[in-house]
Amino acid sequence: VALRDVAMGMVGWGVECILFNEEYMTCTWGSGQTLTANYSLYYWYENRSPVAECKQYLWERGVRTGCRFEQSEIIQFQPFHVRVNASQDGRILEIPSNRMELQNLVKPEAPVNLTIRNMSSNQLQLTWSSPYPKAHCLEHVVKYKSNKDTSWMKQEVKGDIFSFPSVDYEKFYTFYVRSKINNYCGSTQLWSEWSVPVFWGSNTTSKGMAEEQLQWFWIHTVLIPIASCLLLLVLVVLLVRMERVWVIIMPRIPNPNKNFDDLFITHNGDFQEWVGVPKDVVESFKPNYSESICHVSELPYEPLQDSIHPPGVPGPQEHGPYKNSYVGA
Amino acid sequence: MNASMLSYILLSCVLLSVQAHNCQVREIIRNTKSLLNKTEESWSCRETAATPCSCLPIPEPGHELACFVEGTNHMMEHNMTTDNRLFLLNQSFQIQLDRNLCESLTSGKECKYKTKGTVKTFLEKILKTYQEIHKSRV
Repeated sequence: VALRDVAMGMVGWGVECILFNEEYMTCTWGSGQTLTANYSLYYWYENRSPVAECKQYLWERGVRTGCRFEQSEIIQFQPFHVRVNASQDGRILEIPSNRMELQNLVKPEAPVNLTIRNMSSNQLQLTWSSPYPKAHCLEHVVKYKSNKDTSWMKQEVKGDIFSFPSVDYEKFYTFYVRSKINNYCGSTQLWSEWSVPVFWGSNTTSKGMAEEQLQWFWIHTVLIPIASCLLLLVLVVLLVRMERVWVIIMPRIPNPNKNFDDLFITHNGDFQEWVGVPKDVVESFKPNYSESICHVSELPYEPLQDSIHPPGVPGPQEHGPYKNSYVGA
Repeated sequence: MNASMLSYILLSCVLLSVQAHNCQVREIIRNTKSLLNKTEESWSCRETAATPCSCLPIPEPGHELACFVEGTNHMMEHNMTTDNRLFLLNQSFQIQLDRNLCESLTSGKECKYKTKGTVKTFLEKILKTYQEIHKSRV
């Protein structure tokens, strides 16, 4: 593997840094397909600290693929730079990264403790809490659907309360929540993972739904195929036994024998007489002359003597090995 | 003027004065974000010797407000946009600078900068400054 290939691969990926819940940060530059080389990461903050090397590398199959930063090493709102050195066979290649703003790379943890409360007038209230320490920096999205819906509904929420206005007591609902740093604390598109779901709907509804699904399973998988086979068998038996129906499905091949009885019995196979050709027309086809047989053959060629034709001048007989002769009438 | 109207006026004045003493971080962030979302073509900035595009001061620490005032003044003087949010930002920065409303921002009265930037980098600096203030609040 050439160091140039390493560089080309690195340029394609770049270095990706993510702050997980502002507790720690990982900067990664590769994966399982990382080209084998000896990687080192150096980092610094603009106008602040000197260049430092990563203290805790991440490894994959014996190759360094990233660096982990503890909370004490993370400074937000200070431009952050990273440089990865790839060395191989004594040669070193420096691969710088773009300048990063770490406050824009925060990924909060998923919300927890999702709780549903019944409010008055068919209204549900969903609340949750977040492991992220600064609640005023979060915005959320609630994803929900009922057992009768085919697609999920999503609703953006600024606070940590979601009111579901009109709930149907016949349905069974599922709710998920996830969070992101809002525009007041950073400029990021990194959403957290979805939370553990919370459900709402009566216990009997859910049990009934399970039993109903089991019933449908038996009907679709066992009862309908067996009934179909039995019906098919009955129909086949009926078809075989009822000749009237059988004949319609499998009609007999017609036999033209009767149409030709007259030809073979009455007229003794004389087609012309059976068709009704007049006798004078029949006579007119008979020839009124006789012809003798004419035999035609070719005899072997015998060349003539030189006194008759000078040499070099072909005679009329000299264009084939045979002497043409024919006997005709 | 009866007593209820007087009390209403007094209460409004109190509320307005409280509002005026607020650092107005969220409003500044909203307005700056809206201006940043405008496409770059909408900024009337043609690169010439007289009007370079990199013309706005990127402040050194401790001189943010003064440079924000100077930068937004420059943008308004050169009619870089007709969006009213620019005027609102300029007013907010001026008030905060005059009254020391933002404790997080030391109010150096003179704009000091190491480099000048484009409209985008200037607005991003404003955004980052106030995001940091908002995030550090309890």
